[in-house]
Amino acid sequence: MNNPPKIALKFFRWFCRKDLLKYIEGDLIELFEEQVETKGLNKARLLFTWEVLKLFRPDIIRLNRSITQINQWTMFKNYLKVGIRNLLRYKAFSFINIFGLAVAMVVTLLLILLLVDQHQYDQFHTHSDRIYRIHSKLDNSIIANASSPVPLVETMQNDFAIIESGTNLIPGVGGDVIFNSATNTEIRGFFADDQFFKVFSFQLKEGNERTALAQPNSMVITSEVAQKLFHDDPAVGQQVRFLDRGLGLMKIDIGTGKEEVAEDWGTFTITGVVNLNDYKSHIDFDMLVSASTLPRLYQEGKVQDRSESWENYSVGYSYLMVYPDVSEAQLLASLQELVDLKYKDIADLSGIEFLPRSLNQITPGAFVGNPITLRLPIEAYFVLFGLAIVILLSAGFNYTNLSIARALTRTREIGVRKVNGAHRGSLIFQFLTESVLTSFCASTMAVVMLLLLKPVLNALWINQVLNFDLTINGWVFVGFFGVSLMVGLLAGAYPALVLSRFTPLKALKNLTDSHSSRFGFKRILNIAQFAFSLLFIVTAILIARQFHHIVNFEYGFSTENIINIPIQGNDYKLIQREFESIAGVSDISACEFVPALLHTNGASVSRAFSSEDLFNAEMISVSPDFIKTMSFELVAGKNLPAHLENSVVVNMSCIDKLKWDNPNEALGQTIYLEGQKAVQIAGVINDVKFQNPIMGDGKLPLILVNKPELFSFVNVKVNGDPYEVVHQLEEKWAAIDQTHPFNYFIYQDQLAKSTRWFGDLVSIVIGIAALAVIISCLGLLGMAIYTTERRIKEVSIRKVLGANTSQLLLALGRSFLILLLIAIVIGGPLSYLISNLWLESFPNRVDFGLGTVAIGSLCLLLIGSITIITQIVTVSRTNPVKSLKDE
Amino acid sequence: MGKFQLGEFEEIVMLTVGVLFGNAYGVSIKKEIEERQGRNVSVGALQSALKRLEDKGYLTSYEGESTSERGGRPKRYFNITAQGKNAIEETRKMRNQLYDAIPKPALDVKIG
Repeated sequence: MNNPPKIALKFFRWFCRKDLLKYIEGDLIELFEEQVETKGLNKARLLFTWEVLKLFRPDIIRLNRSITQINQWTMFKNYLKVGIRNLLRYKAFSFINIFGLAVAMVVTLLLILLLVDQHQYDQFHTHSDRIYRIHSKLDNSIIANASSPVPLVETMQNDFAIIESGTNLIPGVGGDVIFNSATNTEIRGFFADDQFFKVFSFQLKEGNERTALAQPNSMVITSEVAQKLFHDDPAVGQQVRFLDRGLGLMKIDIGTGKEEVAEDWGTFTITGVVNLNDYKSHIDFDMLVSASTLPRLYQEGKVQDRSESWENYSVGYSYLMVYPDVSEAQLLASLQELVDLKYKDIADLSGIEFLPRSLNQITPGAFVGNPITLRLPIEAYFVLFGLAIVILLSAGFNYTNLSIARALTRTREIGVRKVNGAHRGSLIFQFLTESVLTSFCASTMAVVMLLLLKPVLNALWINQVLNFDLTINGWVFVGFFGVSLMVGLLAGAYPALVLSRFTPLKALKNLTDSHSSRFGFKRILNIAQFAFSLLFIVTAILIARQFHHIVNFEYGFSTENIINIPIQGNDYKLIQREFESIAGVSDISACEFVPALLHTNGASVSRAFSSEDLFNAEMISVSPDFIKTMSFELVAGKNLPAHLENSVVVNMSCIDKLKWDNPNEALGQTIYLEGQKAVQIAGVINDVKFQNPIMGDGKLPLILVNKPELFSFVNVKVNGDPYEVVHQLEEKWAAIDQTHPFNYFIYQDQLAKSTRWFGDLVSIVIGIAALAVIISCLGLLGMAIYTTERRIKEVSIRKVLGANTSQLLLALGRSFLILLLIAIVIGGPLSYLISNLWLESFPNRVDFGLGTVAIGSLCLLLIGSITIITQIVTVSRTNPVKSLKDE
Repeated sequence: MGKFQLGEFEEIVMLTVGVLFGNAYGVSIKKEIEERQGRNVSVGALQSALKRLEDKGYLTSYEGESTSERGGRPKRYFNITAQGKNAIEETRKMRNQLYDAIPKPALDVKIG
């Protein structure tokens, strides 16, 4: 006797209906036996398997549909109906649940939006899965750099067979592009080689990708630049002149940088136009200059030649495209080989590592130094997600708490359902249906709220830098649907398990008053909510105080009514002469960079000609008038001389560091810069805070020198409103410089802008704190409503017996007060510790003591008490007759 | 008329069960159809049709003898019920009516 295939038979026995099994199996075996005779064993076995597979169809498959199938849908409809009725019947509870969840979901939805937006970056490249950016990481640093040495790409391509292609991006092109010596616009970008369009999938709107970057003196520009220069005329083939001003890649200009003198780089031909708005990429530019232009610029001394430099790892970005099926590990191994080869003689960089980072993991990605564009690092998303989850949990706690509390009102329903034959499973399903229903109502509300909120968020200054695109698309909805479902299931899980456990007898006799143990669980949830709220409140108060401290920072010099004007390569003396004739101008000076913004310039100073006992000081080149314009106070000695570069003016901190007791002793003394350059101290000024308040407390030694060739800003102090003088300055400017448009910054605006991101942070944290508190209070309100309603008879009897409102408050509110106090006892120290942790990272910080925690606790206590008291007062005002007469 | 819904394959199975009167079980029905119609019938398709027809009440079944060539499994014989008889008659009648209603010239097609 031949055997049919065992697996097929087993499978068949597994899925086939019990009542048909033996007959069909008989048929199959009979057929099999016959086919063995006619077609041979192997073919028969094959045919047998094939028949079994064809038997796998609805009529034959066994299903467990004995009971559930009959009325699953009907019951589901019933659950939905009961759920909706319950929502409508207890409007206050429904509002608390839905509103609380909705608020929490807005935060979550926002985060999903951000993440989805960030995940779309660099997805459009055809080979994005096998393109890697090479990061360099030094031995002693934790954070890798996005950049790497320039020769890396070519060497890898030549020496390693796994590399299909590669391209270098070299930043350092930024200045004015001029067309027809008339239209001119500021552009920034990279040097890119002809492999750029092979590796990346940007497509040119005009021009040919293969040849665009091949020839020297070629330039690819974005449609925006093309629009500015040529309007609607074709751009390709046009000749433009480019003046480089060494502008950085980042476009956040608050006038901090040192302006460089414009350098004529000659004529370029436009070979392509790309519309960057079509692509979401971490690579952002206004123009690409063909890398073949570089040799000429090296020769002319306009760009430093680093094409062979393995020492400098911060001037280029390397992108490598490996062949298909080459793994990241293989690439890493090859890079390690390269390091062993090239760095064995370079002692400084012996521990350098090159790490491939897949293109898909750049945005959002881990924090890197020297990034191309500013993006929120993935670490920041973890923090934001932490906050969102805390808030979501808090709202979920509300649902759980209120559902359990209300369980008693539903015991009869549960009892009746059980008596009618409901399993525990179907009751769990019912309660989960209700919680998911609630959470979907909440998510609908959240979407509406988000749509209203979006314009506000887009207006935040941070968004201009980070450039979030908050469009809602399909993926967002998928993600959000998932979150709603999960929240519903999680929030409903505990109540469903508890409520479904009731035995019908107890439930119907209403004997379930043994809820003291469950009240313990509810209490823990409440306490956790309020402890979190306290943490948020304390953080918000602290961060607001810190912000206030920074905004109202005392610089120790005058910042009012000062206009800073970039010199843009012009002669300071000429500008001074022109501007002096304007009526409202009181003082004019020049400086290397604007103090107290983000730019700094360190120099090491010592009293002796040696490389020992050096300390770091801030050094800035200014004109002698600077001291007057900024209202520095000259403590001793004289101002800077007009034409003597080896005279300096120092501040009191510097005198202290140089170990003189009296500023007068220091006058005329020689000190050394970088341990060798001798300079004489001409004068001493008071301690001005020459540092941005976010970066430090400003107690820095300061050295002023007069080197006119370094000047890049003119400071104009005016009497009265600076805005009134601006247009007069502009008229004068037109006479001085015809090439560059007039540009100006009001000093106080600049200072305000440099701390503005902090202001945004403050609003975000305060917003989150407010949400957390609102949600917790809603929960508390829900519990208060529930408790007072359950005890309405008790309240009425107490009133009849002569209790007044304050006695009732004590009787009803005591347990809530205890709850709040416990939360404060737990949350207070916790928030003190956590706040201290993050405050440490601010160099210039406010004093933080238990006082702030006390204020926060008081706030919480107050808000919580008001919530409870309003409810209790409402109940205690009702006429006792009303509640006593029914039943 | 709509009372008796029979699919094409269902109808063939019904008729074959009738043809094999008394000897209609899975393998014999399958072979009969394959022989007469010249088409392949899978056990799955046949069994699910039989199942449906039995659910509709057109066929009844009873357990038959078990033989060694079937691995000791019993056969399951089918018979047409009264309702099943009505169903095939109704289907046949409807088909004949339709056929008779075709005007003569429509069928007067010359081959070639």
